[in-house]
Amino acid sequence: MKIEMFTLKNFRNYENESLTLAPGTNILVGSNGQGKTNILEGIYYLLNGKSYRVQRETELIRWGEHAFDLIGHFTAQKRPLVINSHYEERRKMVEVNGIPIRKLSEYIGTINLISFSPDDLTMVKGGPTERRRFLDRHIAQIRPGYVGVLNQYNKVLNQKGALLKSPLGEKEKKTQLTLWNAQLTELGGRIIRARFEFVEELQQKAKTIYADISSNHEQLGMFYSSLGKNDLEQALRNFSCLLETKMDDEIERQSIQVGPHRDDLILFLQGKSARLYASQGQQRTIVLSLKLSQVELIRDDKAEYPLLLLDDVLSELDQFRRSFLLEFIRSYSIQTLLTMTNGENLPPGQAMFEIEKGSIRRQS
Amino acid sequence: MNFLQYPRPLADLIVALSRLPGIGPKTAGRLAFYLLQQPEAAESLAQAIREAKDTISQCSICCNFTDVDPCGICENPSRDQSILCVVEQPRDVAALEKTREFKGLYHVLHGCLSPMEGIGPDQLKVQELLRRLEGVREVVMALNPTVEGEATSLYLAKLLKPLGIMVTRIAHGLPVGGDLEYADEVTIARALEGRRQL
Repeated sequence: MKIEMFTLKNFRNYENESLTLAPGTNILVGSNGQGKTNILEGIYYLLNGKSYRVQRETELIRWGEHAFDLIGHFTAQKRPLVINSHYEERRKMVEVNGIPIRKLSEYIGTINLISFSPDDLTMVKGGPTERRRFLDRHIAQIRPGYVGVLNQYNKVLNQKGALLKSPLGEKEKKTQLTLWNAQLTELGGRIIRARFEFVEELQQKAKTIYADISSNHEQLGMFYSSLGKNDLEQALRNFSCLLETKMDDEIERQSIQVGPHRDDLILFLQGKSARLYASQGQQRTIVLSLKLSQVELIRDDKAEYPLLLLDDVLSELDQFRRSFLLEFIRSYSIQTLLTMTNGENLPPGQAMFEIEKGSIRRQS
Repeated sequence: MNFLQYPRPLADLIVALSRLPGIGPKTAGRLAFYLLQQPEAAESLAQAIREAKDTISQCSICCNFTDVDPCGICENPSRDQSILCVVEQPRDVAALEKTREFKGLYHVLHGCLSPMEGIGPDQLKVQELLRRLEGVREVVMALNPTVEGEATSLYLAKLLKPLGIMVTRIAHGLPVGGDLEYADEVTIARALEGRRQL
């Protein structure tokens, strides 16, 4: 998958700018606050229908304007694909090759993208929410239907939560709880299954990559933990069982106690919890291994490499990890966009763009 | 929108219109100005609204909107009295009637279970349904394929099954003209579950 040209109109600090991208490494250089990340965010928005930085699209519109446009020219499976996203008055309109798209799920996942920014480094030490989001985002890229399952699951959760907090009597609550629990069993079961399957693939890849980066000195392990169970069949049985047995407890506490929204991805190094014991350097290696595993898993699935967006990541990595990453990109000729600040030690790239106050100048 | 720039009655009209479903402040403004420029249209609209409001009530049997009680469908002797189709809204009856496929009677719940909006069984026409089950052999659930519609169907099925009534549900799956590739997983799974021999 490649992006050949990208245009931003009234998006963030860009009035109307285009870049023609090289098929290999593209370097965006500029001082802080000039708009380097905005370009990556634009590509992310175009392909995912949302930003990873803000919730509300109005914040993406250039100051004083009322609409923005993003246009990307891509190639996937040797075919050209033009995606055009227009946002105006709380509505987004997307066209793929000139054909209007009604549902996001109709085009999300046609072009895959893996992004890596310093924020991702909190994944190891942070709370389980971030790790679940990491899993869900990846699964959604490969299985377009997964987003629908997550949305429905969350709707049922909200209804169940409201029911538990309602002033109804215990008997009435129980009767109605079974209606929502029946749906949670099905939807939650799908989520648990999808995450288990993904983690199984992920851990094989990540183990190898981690071993390569650490020159075989350390071993990365991981498993998906669903309400304390790390076996899929057990987890599914346990989930539907707990929905029953925890009902009184849930009514008592007026809050939802069970479900995959409380699960976690457990990472460990040399058999010890990475969340508790991993050093700064180890955390970086873990996240880098996970990201590169994602790249390989997409390749396995789609027979093409995804786009790779690296936002200010190189400066976070030491010399060895940095060359490992750059070598990975080079040897598989993965199209990469990476941002750097002026004066940094620049890696070899095919194209370099200088970003200054919302204008883009190609340097080489 | 700054309403202070309008005379008060005009501002009130815009506010009232913008409370209608599907109408935002801009459309409300456009409609309000149109009505002021077309006094006859405004007059006939006002009259139509008042008449509809005064003469339309809920059928005492099926709870659908009607101007005579019982409504035309409940009173029609040629309709199959032993089969009831449960829907959420009066407009769903209209949608089903358009097809002329269903020959039984209807029951309108006027909503579906939604704890978030404080809607439980007591806020729906459930008692009215239980009261009219004599001679009913089958109840068809034709609620929207949302999580709330699903919960409501399950709830009613639990109430009705012990009474020896057959409870069925309209098929849910792929829409005609839909695209299999882009359907969500739940839809496809349900469509597979409900597969039929050709």
